[in-house]
Amino acid sequence: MVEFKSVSQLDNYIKSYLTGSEYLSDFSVTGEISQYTVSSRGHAYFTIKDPDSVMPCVMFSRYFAYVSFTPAIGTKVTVSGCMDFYAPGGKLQMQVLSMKEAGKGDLHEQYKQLFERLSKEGLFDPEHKKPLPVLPKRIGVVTSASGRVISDIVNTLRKRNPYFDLLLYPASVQGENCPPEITAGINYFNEKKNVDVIIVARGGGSYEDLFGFNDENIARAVYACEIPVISAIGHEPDYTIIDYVADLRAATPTAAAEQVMASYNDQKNMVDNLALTLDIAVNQYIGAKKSQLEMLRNHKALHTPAFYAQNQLTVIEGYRTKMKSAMEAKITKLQSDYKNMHGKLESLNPTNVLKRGYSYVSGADGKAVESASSLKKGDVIGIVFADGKATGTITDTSFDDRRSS
Amino acid sequence: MAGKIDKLSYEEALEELKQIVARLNEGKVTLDESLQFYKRGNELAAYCDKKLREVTQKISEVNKATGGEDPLNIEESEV
Repeated sequence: MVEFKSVSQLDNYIKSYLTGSEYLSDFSVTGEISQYTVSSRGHAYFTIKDPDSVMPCVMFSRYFAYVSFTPAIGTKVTVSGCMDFYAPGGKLQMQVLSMKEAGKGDLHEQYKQLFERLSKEGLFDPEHKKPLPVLPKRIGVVTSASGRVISDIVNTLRKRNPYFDLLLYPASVQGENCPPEITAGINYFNEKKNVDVIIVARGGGSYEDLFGFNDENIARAVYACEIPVISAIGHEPDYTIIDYVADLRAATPTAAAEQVMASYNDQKNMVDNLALTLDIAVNQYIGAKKSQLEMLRNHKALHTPAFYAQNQLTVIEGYRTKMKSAMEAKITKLQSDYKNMHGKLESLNPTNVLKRGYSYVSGADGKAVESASSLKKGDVIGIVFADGKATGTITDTSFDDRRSS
Repeated sequence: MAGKIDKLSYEEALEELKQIVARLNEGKVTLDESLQFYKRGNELAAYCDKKLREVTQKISEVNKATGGEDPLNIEESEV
């Protein structure tokens, strides 16, 4: 066992060990700046980290002066230098000789890989997306309990419609706690089923700030969630993985609240419109019946005698025509009957009998005398022949019993 | 016509209301039917409206320690 004479000797040994190390004497590493201060002398003291580890760094002013950008907490940087042991503090730290902005390089690579993988697996499929509830009575929100996001959401909801309940699940929206807490919030609501829709929200921030939402666990929780999820992370141009899995992506938290209430207000309008349409429909229906009745009532036949009379005249005219032709037929028939009868009559003309040598006696009145008893002595009679007449006076009468029998 | 209105879900009531309006608009119903439809339709509309207003505004926060829900105060503001 090695025995160091003093702490200083130990520290010195560590220093020389580090200086002699092939890897630790000249290297570069990338991390996110977490703590950051610049001393009055212009030296920069900061820490860089990844989700699991932290490394204190010091950058002396003669090097720091050459840094071309202004580092800040959250900035992703690539630093080059060597490991150093700060004996007065007993602290291992990195002495940074140069620093550059890491850019979005590797984060973006992570994002792309996750996107590709989840996309292939079908987590973004539109068929899987659920419609928003028709009547969102209770709204679950997963976001930070402090800050403007929750109050923006509540106030937007209030403005749109007073009829809602809201249940907030407080969660970190940045840093390493963000993914597990957001995931827990989504799972909480999915398990309890105590809300109709979930809004996962965060206000605007840098690419790195929002990066927590590019998380596989969050994505899977959203995908598995049976309650519709609206994502509202950052501002309009910001897209994170959760936006692709969510059933609806809203540009901002306020927009998410508006979307939720849009469906509510659509329903409200629909019911109001239907009630109105019902009134109109029934009025139109009754109106139509009324105007039918009115039309019948106003019919000319019912209303103007002249029209009725005119109508009847036409009818009568029809009968008259029929009657006329019937009469004509009748007359024609009578005429022909007459002709027939006339022929027969002619054959019975007594004059013709007279031509055959008969004659008849006419009385004083000119009429034919049919009986001897109508004559008495002294009556003047005419004897009519076929070709003329003779006049005589009755001198005697006698009766023949054959005629009277 | 379907049964008691308060047994219906909001969606069912809304659907029936739509159908009633459509049938009235068609005009192929008797006067008596039309009046029945109108009465039923009005009841359905009132029911839907009631359903829409059923909720009272309650804003709360999940208490992770107790598993319960605590009221959450958010100042009303101009959005």
